Amino acid sequence: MDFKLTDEQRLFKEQVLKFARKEIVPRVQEHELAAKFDFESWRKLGEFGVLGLHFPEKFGGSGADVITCVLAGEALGEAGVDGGLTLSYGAHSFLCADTIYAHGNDAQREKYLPKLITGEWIGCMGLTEPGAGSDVAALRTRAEKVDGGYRLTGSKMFITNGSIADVAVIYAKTDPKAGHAGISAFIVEKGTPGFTVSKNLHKMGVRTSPTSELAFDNCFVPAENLIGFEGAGFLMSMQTVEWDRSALLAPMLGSLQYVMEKCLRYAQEREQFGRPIAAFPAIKHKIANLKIVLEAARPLIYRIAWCKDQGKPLSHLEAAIAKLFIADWSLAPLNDAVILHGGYGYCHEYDVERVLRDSRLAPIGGGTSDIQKMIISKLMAGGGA
Amino acid sequence: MNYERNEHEQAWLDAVKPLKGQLETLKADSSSEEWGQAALSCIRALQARDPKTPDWRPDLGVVVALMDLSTVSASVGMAWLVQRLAVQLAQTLETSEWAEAAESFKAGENLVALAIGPTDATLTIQADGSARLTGVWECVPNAAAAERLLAIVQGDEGPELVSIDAKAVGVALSQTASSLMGSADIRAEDVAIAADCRAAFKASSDLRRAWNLGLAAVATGLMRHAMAVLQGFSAVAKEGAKPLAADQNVRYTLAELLTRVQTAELFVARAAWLGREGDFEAETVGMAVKAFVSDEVQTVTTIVHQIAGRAAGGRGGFFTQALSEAATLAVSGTTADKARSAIADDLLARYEV
Repeated sequence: MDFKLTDEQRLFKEQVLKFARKEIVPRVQEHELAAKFDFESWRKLGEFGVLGLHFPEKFGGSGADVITCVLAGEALGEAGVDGGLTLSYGAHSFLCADTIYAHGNDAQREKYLPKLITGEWIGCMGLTEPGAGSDVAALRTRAEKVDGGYRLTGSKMFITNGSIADVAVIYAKTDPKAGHAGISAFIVEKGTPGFTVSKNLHKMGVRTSPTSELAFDNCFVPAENLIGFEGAGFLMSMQTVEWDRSALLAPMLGSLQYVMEKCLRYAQEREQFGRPIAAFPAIKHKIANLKIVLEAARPLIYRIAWCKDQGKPLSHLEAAIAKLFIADWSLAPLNDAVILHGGYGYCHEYDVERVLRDSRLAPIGGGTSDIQKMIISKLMAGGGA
Repeated sequence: MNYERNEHEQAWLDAVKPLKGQLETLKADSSSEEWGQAALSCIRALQARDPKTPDWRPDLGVVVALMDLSTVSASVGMAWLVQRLAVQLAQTLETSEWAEAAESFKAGENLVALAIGPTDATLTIQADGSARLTGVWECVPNAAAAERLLAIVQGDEGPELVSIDAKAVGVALSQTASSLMGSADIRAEDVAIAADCRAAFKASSDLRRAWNLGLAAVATGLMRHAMAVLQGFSAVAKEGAKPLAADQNVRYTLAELLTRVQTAELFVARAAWLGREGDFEAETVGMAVKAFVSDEVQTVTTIVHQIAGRAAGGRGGFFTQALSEAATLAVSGTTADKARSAIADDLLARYEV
């Protein structure tokens, strides 16, 4: 085994870190408090190349490997970029644009990818429904085949970027009796008649990332907007898991480092009982716990990225373990980081409570921790441990 | 980056494989003699693979092999770890007597115990350079079956490594009630130490790092062992008419246990790799992995013990033995408490305001 990053990978991470600290972080609090998407930062992410890192150069991307994408996400979190913006980036690049790139045809790639990569267009992915989350087979949104295309009817829930997206990848059932094999994926553009944002949701964390309920009322989608072929949707959605468990989780790794550095600074500056609180063992242990979880989680996340880079089939066991660990094990140290800051920790200006709130999406989004345990236990029973 | 085992690591795992089969006959209530023979047999086979001049930097092949061996017997994993460290310590001393001892330890001619922990031992130096040693060491791994004891004690001019014949007059062993198999308390009462059995001890940092990483590897193996035993147990043990594994909570708990195990395995491997590379983070990550695994091995064995319920209650059974082994491993080397302090001190120095 070898855990070495290339010089190029390390250098790029440093560059993203510097860029994010200078260009994005100063704008975070204003937008986070107002729960507003930061279009200016989005544009800058596109200009810097973050939004299209792994796509081929012919579409405007950089052709980077998955490890580099993970490092970029880690650098954003480490800089102090909020979980809302990094979530929007993940949903846009990995759940929407990558699905078009990996499964779409040339015409779809050429039409959508260049604008998604620059950030001129924003993408989203619609899978979850009010009655179907992790149980994908229970989807109710229907795509009925009609002359020249499909008519979509149904609704989608908890859709990241839903209200700001120009392009949506929507999963719907073309054959309701076929279970997983009856699910297909479609590209639906903003403004398509019958496609509306029915509600924006107010959330505990990741507040700069709009989360919406989408409605499809007899919405006509032309046949050329079908991604891949009918019935291929479930497998497409499963392939996004590789991104979900690597690049999408990477900002959390960075956030642990960000919070740890905040704690280190505060603990040295804040004095109580005549000395900096960093002198107290109980405070030291809180800081150490952040480092321990960060270092324990890092190889789990990198492993998923490395496997994807090698073209290996995703190990659902390893993916579920990575997600379960960082989601559940980060709670206590991040909570302690708020407590370490005392009253200031509970206030916005120190930004540690924001990270705690943002991090609470991890045990829920992309499959709850219970779902990860279900996956792990099933695979264990099948001898996959 | 490469998460696959290379040929060197795989060769070590291949070497461990047949030994694991042999060790399955070892039971929690096996005698010290049976345990010692089994441990020596493994040590001989594994030491034969070791290079002639081992260095203190972690060998990832050895670390994965140590984890794997410990999935069958943590105490035998510990025995090998101790024997390797004894070889390395003896080799640092550069005298013919110690070089001879190192060869003997390496060949597995006899089992060595290593008393590293805190002690109130006193070494009284005689005019001819020999010394008299008095002291007590608790819960020393390998001590129950060892022929030679290595102890680090405070001499007149700093710490010294002393080599003691386990059968020497004044040396007494007593089995610890609940600990790793093969370990024992050592009492030395005015024991004569020849001049050529003493040497200045200068490898404290190297020894501490290697000891901590080795302990984390052994504890990680024990975690996987405990989880695997529970997995098997829950498939056959019944509550009412159904096997325990039919309970969703048991299944999800097993999933959590595997998460702890796999995380620890990768964490140990990466810490070893960083040490090998001489990375600036190696010291901190080494402490982090020791703290993490010390906590997790106790959590895992406690959960396993609780789910096994009444079946876990019997003395001498695996579940009870695993609990006490986990506790011993956790308090050996740098404890989680001290490791956390060391991590924070290192970070505070690096991020000084």
